[in-house]
Amino acid sequence: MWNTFILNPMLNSLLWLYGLLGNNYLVAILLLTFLIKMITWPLTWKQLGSTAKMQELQPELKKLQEKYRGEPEKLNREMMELYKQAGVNPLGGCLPTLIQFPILIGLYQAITNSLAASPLQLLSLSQHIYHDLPAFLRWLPNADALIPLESRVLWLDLAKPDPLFILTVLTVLSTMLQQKLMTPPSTDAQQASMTRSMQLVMPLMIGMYSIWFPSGLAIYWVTSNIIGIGQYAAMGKVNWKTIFLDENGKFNLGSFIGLPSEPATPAPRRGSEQKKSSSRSSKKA
Amino acid sequence: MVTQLLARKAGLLVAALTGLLLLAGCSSGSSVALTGASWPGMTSADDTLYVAYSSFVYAVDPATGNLEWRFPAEGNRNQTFFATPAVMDGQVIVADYTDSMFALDQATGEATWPAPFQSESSRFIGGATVDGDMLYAGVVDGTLYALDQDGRIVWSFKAGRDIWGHPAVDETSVYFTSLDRHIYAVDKGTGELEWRWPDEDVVADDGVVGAMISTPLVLNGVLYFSSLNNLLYAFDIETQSVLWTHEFSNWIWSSPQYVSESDVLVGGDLDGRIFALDPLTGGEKWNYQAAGPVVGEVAVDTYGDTPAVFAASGFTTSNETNLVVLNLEDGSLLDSASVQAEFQTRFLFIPTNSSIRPVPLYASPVIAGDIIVVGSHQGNVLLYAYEKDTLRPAWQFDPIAAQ
Repeated sequence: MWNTFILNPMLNSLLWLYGLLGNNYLVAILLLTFLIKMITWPLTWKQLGSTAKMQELQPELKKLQEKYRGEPEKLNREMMELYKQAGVNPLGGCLPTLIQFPILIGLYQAITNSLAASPLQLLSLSQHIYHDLPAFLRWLPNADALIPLESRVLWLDLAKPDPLFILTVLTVLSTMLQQKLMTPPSTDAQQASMTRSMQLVMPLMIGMYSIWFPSGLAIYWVTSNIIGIGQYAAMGKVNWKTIFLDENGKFNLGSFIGLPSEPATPAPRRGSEQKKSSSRSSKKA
Repeated sequence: MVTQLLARKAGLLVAALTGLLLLAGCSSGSSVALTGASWPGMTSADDTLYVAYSSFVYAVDPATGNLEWRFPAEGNRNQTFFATPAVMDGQVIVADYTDSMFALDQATGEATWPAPFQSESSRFIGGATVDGDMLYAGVVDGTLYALDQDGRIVWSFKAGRDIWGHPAVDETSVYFTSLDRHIYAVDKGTGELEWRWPDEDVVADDGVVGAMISTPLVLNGVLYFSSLNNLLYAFDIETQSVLWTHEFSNWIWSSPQYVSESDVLVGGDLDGRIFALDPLTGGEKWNYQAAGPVVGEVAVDTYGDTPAVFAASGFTTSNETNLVVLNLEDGSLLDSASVQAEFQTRFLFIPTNSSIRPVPLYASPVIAGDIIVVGSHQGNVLLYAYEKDTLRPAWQFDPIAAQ
């Protein structure tokens, strides 16, 4: 089922693009990424719309939080009611990322399978290639004849991780940027803290993967992020100024990587040492 | 508060790890995993079976399945053997998946060369071909080496890309295929290029010739070899021209065997089609559809008194047979067996349940006396032996238990 609907179409598309683009594997990955983003665009559009609506609801959510302070259950009910009335899914912003996972896994398998370097890998590849195409598709390159692919481009072997970690850095930065631009600000302190953690952990996690996985996959991820930002910008939703602004609207470099802003008024703490520390922090702020 | 914070962080960590595990963790594996980049390479000589697999080369008594010796005594995770061993003058020649070739004493398994031969930069996938007191072997960077019996280089020749198959040899030349989409002929004595076909550089997507991984078969001035464009070629050496091609529905991994008594070429393709062809015309005499891909060469011998083809294959469903015996004359099924092992299904690396199912048999079956041996790279058993004339199980070889 997975092979029939995800892996085989993706793998053969990658091979055909490779053949059509003059045996350039890098450009084939870039174009396949673009095509995948275009195919999933209606879904992404819907989810981004949901995210935008969430942002519009922020003032009302804030009012509810003030009104039902100390009554978390009631606040929750009212918030759900508000979401329902506005036709918003509160998890809408996460869904585009989740939807990408099967695609990412499929592409990962397509890249690793297509760049077969050992007998077992090549044997596995033979079971995924469309050996005999129907007549109306015979204009496509013969995938059998394309094997083995040329995977070396510039300093990269696309079947192996980037030895210079340039793609790792680009993966982390582009994921951070995309999350920063596309995640709605939260009025709830706990939720804001959670969002900040996600904005830091998620890019680092993806960056960690890019250290281990074929660089072709990192190229997919970076391209996908850039196209995603472009799509969001095309909707007129991107506010570039917010990249370095914290939740209080102040310029904060650390905000880009999800570091919390320093509190304007530190909370009182117990103990003299803590008081001193708090006082220093306050002066700095 | 601290607990909540920790719980949140732990949740994120779990989410991150889950993503990673989902990429790699939903799998099905054997109870004692035999894993590797390839399947075992096997050869039989002088009443002993030599098997190269993973970290060791084993010498096994084909009558009993007992281990005679193994090399090296202690396994090295960085050193793996898959290439089919070759036997030369009391020595077993084995090449590893890194860059070394060893000569082992056939009786004891002790290394006989002062030091292993090491290719400059690349690993061996196909093994060595023995011709008198010379050895010929290709490596993944496209270099073909000619070595003397002490492992010293006599000459080397560089092709465009990987050499995966064994070279073939006749009176004057060495023939080998390459992933650069060419078959080469080089002078046996000097290593100079005699010719390559196609003569010009091949464009990858022109569909005329695919990459080549098979060992060529030389027979009466004709080379038989396959390429990854699903074609089997008969090629006239003297005129350097194609005599005929036969198209299959998938790749032919190993070149066919010639059976002189019946004057046929027999082999199999990766769609599981076992075939017999006329060597003069390429016309098909019969075919039989096996359950899964036929990767290794087929073996030809007798089943009782009947000339027969023994073929091992992969499988597609759990109740299929993966070892078949066919009548050489018409391809009719004489007997079959399902070679099975116990597997554990895992989710996120945690065993969930176990099942018994066929193992993929990609290695060429080897016949030694009255025994046929097949090898698998999955399950906890490396070798399965059957009585050749009845396909009754004879013995199994578990490399871990044999230590």
